[in-house]
Amino acid sequence: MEGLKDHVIVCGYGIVGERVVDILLEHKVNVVVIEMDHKKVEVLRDRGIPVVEGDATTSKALKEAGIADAKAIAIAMDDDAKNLFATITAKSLNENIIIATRANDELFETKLIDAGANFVATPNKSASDELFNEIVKGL
Amino acid sequence: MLEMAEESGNVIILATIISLIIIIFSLIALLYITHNIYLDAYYIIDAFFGAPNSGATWDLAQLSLLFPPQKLAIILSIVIIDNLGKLLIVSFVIAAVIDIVSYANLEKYISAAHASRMRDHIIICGYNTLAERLIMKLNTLKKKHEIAVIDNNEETVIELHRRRIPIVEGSFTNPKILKLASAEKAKIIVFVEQNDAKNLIGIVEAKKLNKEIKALVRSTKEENMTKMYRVGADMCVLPEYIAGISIGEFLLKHIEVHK
Repeated sequence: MEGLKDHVIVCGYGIVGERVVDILLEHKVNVVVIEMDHKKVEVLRDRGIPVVEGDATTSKALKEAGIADAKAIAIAMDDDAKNLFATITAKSLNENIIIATRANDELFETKLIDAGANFVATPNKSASDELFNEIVKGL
Repeated sequence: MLEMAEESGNVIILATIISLIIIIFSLIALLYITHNIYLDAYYIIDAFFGAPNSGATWDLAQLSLLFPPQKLAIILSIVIIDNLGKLLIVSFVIAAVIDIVSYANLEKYISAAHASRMRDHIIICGYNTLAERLIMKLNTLKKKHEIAVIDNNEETVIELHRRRIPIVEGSFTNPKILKLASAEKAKIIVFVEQNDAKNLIGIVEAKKLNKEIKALVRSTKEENMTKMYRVGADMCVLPEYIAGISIGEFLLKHIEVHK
């Protein structure tokens, strides 16, 4: 991804990744997505979003996405171990990068923070907060 | 679950009848065997300690004629063995009662009965990390609200019994199970299972039983959210969607936005 600077790399284009991409694009932030699934890669190309087809846990894919010049990275794959691996790799390639990631298992939250993540979103935690607020309204 | 309850009920009745028959026969046999021996033992005790009002007091001289030392020893041995036997029977009866209680899994019925008496309560369908977090948060509220869980996983049922959380064992797509959780009297029902089809059926069945019930549901796909609302859900959450928003918002706050 030549010429890109201060962009945001999004790893994984599932429900979480797609939402992150949409929010960033709405605010005119330059985005590069790393995705393994060829069908999703095609969808991204059709949308005109820069994409690297590959494994976000590898240095090769991260370098190709311009990690050295990136401002932040959103690691949003559906596998906690992969997210941890990608966090460690990203931090080793760019010490100043802002890392936001997800954890399905709450036990991974501290591991991801220890590995260098600045923010960890836990889908179940977020959902339980939303449901709780709605329940309280109805009581 | 209803079939299971019926089956367990039959087993309890059968086990009780068999236990009673065994106990009655054992007691009759013991009585028959030991009756005369006890009569003899009575004379011995009477002779030794005296029974002023009985009029049947024997003196030791008579006794020594009637019961030579060998016979005396035999009688006393039999009395001891007989009492040990009775002790064994009592132990057997206690063990049988414990066995019946544990087989019938009374906890399950107590828990279900508790749920069936609830009103204006919260029903949580499916027990997982999301449900666990939700229950934890609800328990922090100052005003306590009764919560009933519906789940058909055996390990979950045991765990919730241990934690004293009322649970109805079965599938929440079954109206009979929803009735056991007193859905017609509940205020809120939350479907947290990672199965959109089951959650959808659950909403339909719950709304059939109670139009006023507030139905909250989790979905696993964005495209299913509208379906949930169409069948009557009051709120539908997609955990991954919410997580995506929080990551996006975090990044926007922390990066310089170039427009």
